[in-house]
Amino acid sequence: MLAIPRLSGEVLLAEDGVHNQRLIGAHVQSTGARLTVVGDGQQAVEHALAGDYDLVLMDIQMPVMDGVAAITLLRQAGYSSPIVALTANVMREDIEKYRSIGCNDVLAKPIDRARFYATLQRHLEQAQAVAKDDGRDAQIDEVVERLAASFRSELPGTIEQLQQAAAGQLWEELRQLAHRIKGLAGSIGYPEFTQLAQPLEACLIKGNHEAAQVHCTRLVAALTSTLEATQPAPEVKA
Amino acid sequence: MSGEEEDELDNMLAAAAASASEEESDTQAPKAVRIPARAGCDVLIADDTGASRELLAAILRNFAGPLELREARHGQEALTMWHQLRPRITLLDIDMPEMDGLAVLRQVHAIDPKAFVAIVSGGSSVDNVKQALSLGAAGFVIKPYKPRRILDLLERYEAASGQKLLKAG
Repeated sequence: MLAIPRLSGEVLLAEDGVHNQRLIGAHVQSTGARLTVVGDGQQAVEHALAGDYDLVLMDIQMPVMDGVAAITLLRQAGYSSPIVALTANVMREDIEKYRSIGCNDVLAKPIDRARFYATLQRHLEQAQAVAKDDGRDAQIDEVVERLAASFRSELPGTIEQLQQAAAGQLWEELRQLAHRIKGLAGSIGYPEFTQLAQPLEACLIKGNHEAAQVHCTRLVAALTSTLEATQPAPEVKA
Repeated sequence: MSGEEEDELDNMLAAAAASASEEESDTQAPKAVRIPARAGCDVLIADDTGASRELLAAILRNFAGPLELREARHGQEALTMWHQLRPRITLLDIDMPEMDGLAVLRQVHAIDPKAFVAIVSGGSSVDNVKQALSLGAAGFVIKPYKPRRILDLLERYEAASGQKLLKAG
């Protein structure tokens, strides 16, 4: 029986076929690695650049943007995580081509499970080793924490500014607030605020003010609950 | 004349040609393009959010040690500072007032196609990425980012320029 390696890490699978999404996805998850699935090359580029994946598994034939275009774009953008091509084209010149555009490995479809697990293991264990090695990341935590503390201390003001801008229909001001939160919050440990500020800013750019009000209310609610969680309730004097 | 000096001369000629044509078409472009013999700073950061600039600066210093860093708060300021300073690395947000980062990138590369300019932006659409790369961006980092992505950029700069910037270890 085939031994399944115990692995950890984040894997992005870009594959358009539903059957293969399930099958290959199940192989990845059986190792313990976390999985995100997208259905075309364009989504693969957006997810890879915006996410924190240790490994990208990229089908070559996909709609919207194929795997070759997606890998080329990612490498041009400076994306450094390993990318493994999944393809039925495994002639030597195909493999050379995929390697030349920046693939670290090429796996033939249909998937051979032993080779698949070995490839996954090699790249994910390497990623773990790099992460451990990189003590420099830890030094940045201090700066991130200082910025996060200043973000938290400004929360009451931020909430008030958002509420006032929404109530006064000061759309440009509201857009700037949303833009600022979107760009910063996720980098200092509050990805949920970035996720909430994103549709708010998008609605304001489109001029969809009704939807913006809804998104603003959600963002304010999330900020308020964080504020309440971080600030101890004032002591009640007897 | 060394290869580097020749490059510098090429840049100056290109800059002179670009500024001559720009004066007619774009009144916002600075009229005099002064090109220092050496980079006037290591990294120019352009972002309209102060905390974003601060975070980026801290990460850069962490990886590269003491750096001459300069900050611009909008695109027009970034372009003006780029003309004056000729930074080794320019990091541009896209969505900024006055002039967006892609416009800054376009103008910088019209003068110096070899300038190392990367985008650090919240605009993650593939169209943005494609446009930036077609304009010659040296990299594209999406906010919020892991510090590792900024290290990737610095390593890319070292590989492209042959110049050392990162701390050992």
